[in-house]
Amino acid sequence: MASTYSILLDTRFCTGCNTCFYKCVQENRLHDTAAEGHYRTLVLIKDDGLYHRRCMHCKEPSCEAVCPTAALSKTDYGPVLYDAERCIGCKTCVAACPFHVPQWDETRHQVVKCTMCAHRLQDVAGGKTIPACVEVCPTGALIFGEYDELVAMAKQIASENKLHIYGLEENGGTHLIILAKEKPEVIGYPAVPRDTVRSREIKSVSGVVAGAAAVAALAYAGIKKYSERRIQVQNFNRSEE
Amino acid sequence: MVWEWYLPAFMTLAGIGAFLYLFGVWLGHREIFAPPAKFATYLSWMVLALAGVFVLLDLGKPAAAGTGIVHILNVFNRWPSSPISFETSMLLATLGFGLLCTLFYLAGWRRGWPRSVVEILGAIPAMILAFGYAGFLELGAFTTNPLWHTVMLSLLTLSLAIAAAAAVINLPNVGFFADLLPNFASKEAAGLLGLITRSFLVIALILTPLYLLTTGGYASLLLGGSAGVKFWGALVLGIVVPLVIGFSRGIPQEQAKWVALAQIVLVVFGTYLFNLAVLQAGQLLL
Amino acid sequence: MSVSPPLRNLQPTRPFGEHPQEKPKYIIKKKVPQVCARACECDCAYNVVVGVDRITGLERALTIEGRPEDPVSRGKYCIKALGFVDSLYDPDRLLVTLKRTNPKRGLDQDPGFVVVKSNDALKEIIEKLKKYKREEILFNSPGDPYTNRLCRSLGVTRSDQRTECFGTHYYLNSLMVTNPPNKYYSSTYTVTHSLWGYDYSKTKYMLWFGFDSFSKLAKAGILNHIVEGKRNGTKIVVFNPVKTPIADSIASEWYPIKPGTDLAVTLAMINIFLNEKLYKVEFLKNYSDAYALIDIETKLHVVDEKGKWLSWCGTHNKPEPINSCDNPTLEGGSFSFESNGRTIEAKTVFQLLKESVKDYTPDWAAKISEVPAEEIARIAREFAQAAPMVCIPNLKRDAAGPNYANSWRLMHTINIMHALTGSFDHEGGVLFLNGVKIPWLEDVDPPAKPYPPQPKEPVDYRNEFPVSNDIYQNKDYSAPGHYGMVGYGLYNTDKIKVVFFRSPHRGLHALIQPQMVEAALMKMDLVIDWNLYPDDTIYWCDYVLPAPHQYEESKFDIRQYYPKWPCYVGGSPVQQPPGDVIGWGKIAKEIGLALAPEYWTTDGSQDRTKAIKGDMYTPALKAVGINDMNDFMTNKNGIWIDKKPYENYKTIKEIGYGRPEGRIRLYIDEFANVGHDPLPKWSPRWTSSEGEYKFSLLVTRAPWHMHADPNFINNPVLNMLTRKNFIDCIWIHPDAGKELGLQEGAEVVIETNPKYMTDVPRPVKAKVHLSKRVARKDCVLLFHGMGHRSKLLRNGVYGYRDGDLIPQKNPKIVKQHDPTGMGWVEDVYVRIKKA
Repeated sequence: MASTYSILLDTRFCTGCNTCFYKCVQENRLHDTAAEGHYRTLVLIKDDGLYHRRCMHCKEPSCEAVCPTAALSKTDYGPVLYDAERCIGCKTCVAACPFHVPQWDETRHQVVKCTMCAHRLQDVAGGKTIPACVEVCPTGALIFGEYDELVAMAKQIASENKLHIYGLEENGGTHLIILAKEKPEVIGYPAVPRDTVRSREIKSVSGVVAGAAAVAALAYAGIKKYSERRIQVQNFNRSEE
Repeated sequence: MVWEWYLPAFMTLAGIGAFLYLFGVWLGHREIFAPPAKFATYLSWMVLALAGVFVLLDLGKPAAAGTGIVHILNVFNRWPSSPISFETSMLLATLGFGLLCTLFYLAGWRRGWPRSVVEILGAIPAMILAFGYAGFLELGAFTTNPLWHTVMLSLLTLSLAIAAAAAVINLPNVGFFADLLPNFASKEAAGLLGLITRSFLVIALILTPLYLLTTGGYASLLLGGSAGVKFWGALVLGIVVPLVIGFSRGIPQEQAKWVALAQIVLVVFGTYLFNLAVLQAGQLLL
Repeated sequence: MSVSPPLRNLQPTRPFGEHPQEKPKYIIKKKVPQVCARACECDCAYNVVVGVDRITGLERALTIEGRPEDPVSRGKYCIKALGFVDSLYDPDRLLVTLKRTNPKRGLDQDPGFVVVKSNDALKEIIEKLKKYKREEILFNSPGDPYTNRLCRSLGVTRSDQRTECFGTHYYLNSLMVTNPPNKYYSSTYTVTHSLWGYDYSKTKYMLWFGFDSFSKLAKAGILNHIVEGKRNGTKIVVFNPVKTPIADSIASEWYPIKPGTDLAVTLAMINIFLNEKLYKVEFLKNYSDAYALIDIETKLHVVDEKGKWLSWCGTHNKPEPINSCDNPTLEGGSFSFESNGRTIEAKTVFQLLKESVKDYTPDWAAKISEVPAEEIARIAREFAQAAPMVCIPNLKRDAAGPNYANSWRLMHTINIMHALTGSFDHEGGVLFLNGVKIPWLEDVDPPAKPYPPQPKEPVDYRNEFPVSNDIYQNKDYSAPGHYGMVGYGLYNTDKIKVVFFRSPHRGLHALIQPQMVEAALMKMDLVIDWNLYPDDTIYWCDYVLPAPHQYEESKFDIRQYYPKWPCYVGGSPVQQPPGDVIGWGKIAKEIGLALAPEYWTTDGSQDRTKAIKGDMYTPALKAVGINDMNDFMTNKNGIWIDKKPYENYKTIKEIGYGRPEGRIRLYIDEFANVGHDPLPKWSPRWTSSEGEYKFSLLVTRAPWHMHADPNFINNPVLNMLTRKNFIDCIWIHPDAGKELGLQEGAEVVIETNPKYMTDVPRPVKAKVHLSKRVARKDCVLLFHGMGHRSKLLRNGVYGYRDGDLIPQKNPKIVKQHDPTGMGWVEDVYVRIKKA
């Protein structure tokens, strides 16, 4: 796989029909889990626009970073994939994803999350195998292609039409890029900072270590002082006796 | 709601377990505190083992728990970005050191540099575990969750864990256990431990509104609804009531042991309730 | 290198194809061409993909794949088509015939159904039908070829629910343009029974009066064209009290118009067109009756002895036949002349139209519609500027559908706007079906003798409406019936003793005031239903016959949603119908052969061996050089298309009034005959806001539902989608919620103004969703399709039923407001109260 794939969602052409949702269910045979409320992609009709709740395929995925067993992995061709066999069900990814995407299917004991139809991406050059949601979108609101090309396209469309772009900066950049008339955060997309888990963890770990060291020093000093005082008191008491 | 009551139980026990170990090391430095130090060390690995059981119970794939343990051996693969890897490794390490220290006690090996080295080495993962427990919610993974990603929460949970651990070590000093666990009781330590519990409960009480102020306007999720019941329960039962008890004077001898026992139970239970509330409320934002 | 489990996490990423998620979930075995002839009238052509599901190991229909060669769908399809794939295997599908043993009807009764063979049941039904007079039998069915023949041969009433969808469009289009039957009028299931689609991808300017309802959000067959137009710069102006996702994405402008006042806007626009001479004179001259003279006294077109319209010749100062007059006069008059010894005062249609709309200024319209006057004027000018590449699409339940008592007037104005801008039968405007014809049963197997007369006083009161009744009786028996009154007739009279529902996929009881129909059915002798699901209807039925799924049928269809090129598409069954399923053609034929054999044999005899074949497809195919369906499906893969350039204004001549020199009628004599306005005048809606009954009822449906069809309603995956999007709630503006003291999710009771629903009211209980998408505080948005109560639909019982709030209409009242007699589905004000 030489290419790095990506999906561009131009919400100016999305009607919220959710054909992408149902096609995904059929393509990936997710009927039972979907009936229970879990989905890989779904369009929510919000007051200020349409919110596509689906995996953003981060360049540096938080889910991958927090997964203790490497059940989640970032492929070199774009999608973030999930291996149910490796998963131990800690569900940390569910809480860690800044986009609130992975869902835990408690009946089937696995995470539900988009794969960008990785199984269809074997013959992209042949033009046949693009993600099911992209193939089915009645209005062509979803576009599939090379990351760099789509980024260039997104920037051009956005500047020509005064649109907001979501996914270029968020969480260090993602492989789903969204164009919207409204500010995505107003529509309902989560406000996600630019820095990734990896950049943050260094700070966190150093914070923990520094904090632990500080407390250790304080504790040592504290007990030393307390016990010295105790001894002094005892000695004093003894001498009193 | 992917995390219900197992994970808060793990968090509570891991925090208490880590501080039990640390208290064991800390108190063990002075002869007069030897009995509670021993008690804390004995109890630390047991509590941590129980915490480990709750992690396993929480796993969504019970069948994978076995392989989970195998996978946990690979924690360095995702270390330190995976909180569960990080925490579990620290938990196992602290548990191991706790066990080792217990063996030292049983062997009567009370002095000498090798023991001190082991204790101090063990304090490192314990310290990280304690902070990790407090910072479990902060560490790496959940930075976009305003209810979880705040320093105040770390400090608050840390305070509660210290208070709870100190309270637990005080157990042999409560009337009921004096006969049962005479070797672990220490009048001198009782005062210190009581002081620690009270102090950190006061700190927790001060930190609570500060924490709520730093939750980016989402405090209502904690103050109301299903999480609210737990939150207020934690605040009243786990902090206020034990403090009232702690500062009360003149409780008749007969009731005193009951009241002392109730204080310990309430502090531990309150810590658990607090973790439960915060975890639930945070999940409402997912 | 194989790595042992404890270290396998340290393995680098696997080679492509080895990850479990890189493996496909199914193996494709075959692709069956189909046409989506039930989910909506786009009738998208596509392939149903059949294969082996690797999880279950079963071979089944799995999904759909597009057919880019279909000019309508162009390789696209929608969520409903996908829903149909899974509904093939719906565990609640009706696969056997049920016969009632408990005589007590009603939802609270166990019907005590026993399973009988479908053929045996049909025989029993036939024996029972023999006992009733033709006036006592009602077929509740759309006018498909077999139902038409059955009802006509038996001389019984047929009435159907499509009134609510396309009744108004159909009758106005018939009266103004298509004058059925005509050479392209086909027997397939077509939208509005009209003959046109819209050139969405080429048009430059579109006005949508509620055309962007939620139900349109998934119509892939038109959406793919609309967005192509949008990408090419089409301007789309939307008038809708609801801000739909289309309004905030595809639309260029959106105005939250006051419900039921669209007519004011179109009248003002016509006023601008006429005053500022923004019309296409050549079109009016050659293809309309604008120059035709109207007798001021009789209020009818003036005609010569051959029945041809006359115009006023400016050169010769006398009336001359409109087609041969060299200098017809457009306005002015009146013109006075002698004819058959009588002095006639006449004015041209154009002049009368000008007089008719002269007071309807944008300022006037703004006060009524709450759309700013300057915007109305600007839009009208821009629209006219872009003519003839403009259109005002309308299909089914938009504002020009049968929503309000004035909707027929709105439809009239829209067609006038299409005529003034010359966009009828023009590329980039309104495209007319041409070059194809699928014959009717009467064409291929003409009856050996004239059909018996229809009941004089049918239960749906269509006899009270001469305008639509004339079309129904004399021109097109498939025309929509008066569903807004059929329930009223069943409830208030004792005319009918037998009701036969042909209601697969729709769920009768989710329609207008079902409680009235339910009450009426209690007193029937015999009720039969032919249905795909055991929905509410069966609780009142004596027999329930199982219908096939749409993918178990052959299909043959024209491309009416995009008729730019002559085209036929076909579909093959994906599987044989399971169980004891029985087709409608067979039912109709059997009943016909038993009760009126002379109309069901080729020679009018009673000889069953000479039964009609009913092959309507072969003649159509032969005309384009294809032998038969087998040849079509095997050798042409089910598609034939003639991509010749569209010839503007050719089809009007062929089908319009006065054909073969056909024209569009702006002035409708038939309305004048019954005392209604032959040219559009303003009229408010029937009901008005009163006190607490201040919420105008807006009804739409989820893009993934079709009517109350259990194919979708009973689908647990779609149910989840419905709930996630609050479709199972009623929607009101947050400020309206605040005034009522309602929080998000609050339980409420909604009640129709009892003044307008005098009999069997049934208030609706629902949850509230506060949404700014309902842009006006005086509206409430309900979603159609839910509210099933049948215990036999395991996933389908949820939500509320909008139909409970919409009254069946008293024909006497309807007559005063509407000469077409269609149902006024949204002409309702409701009260909302905390439950």
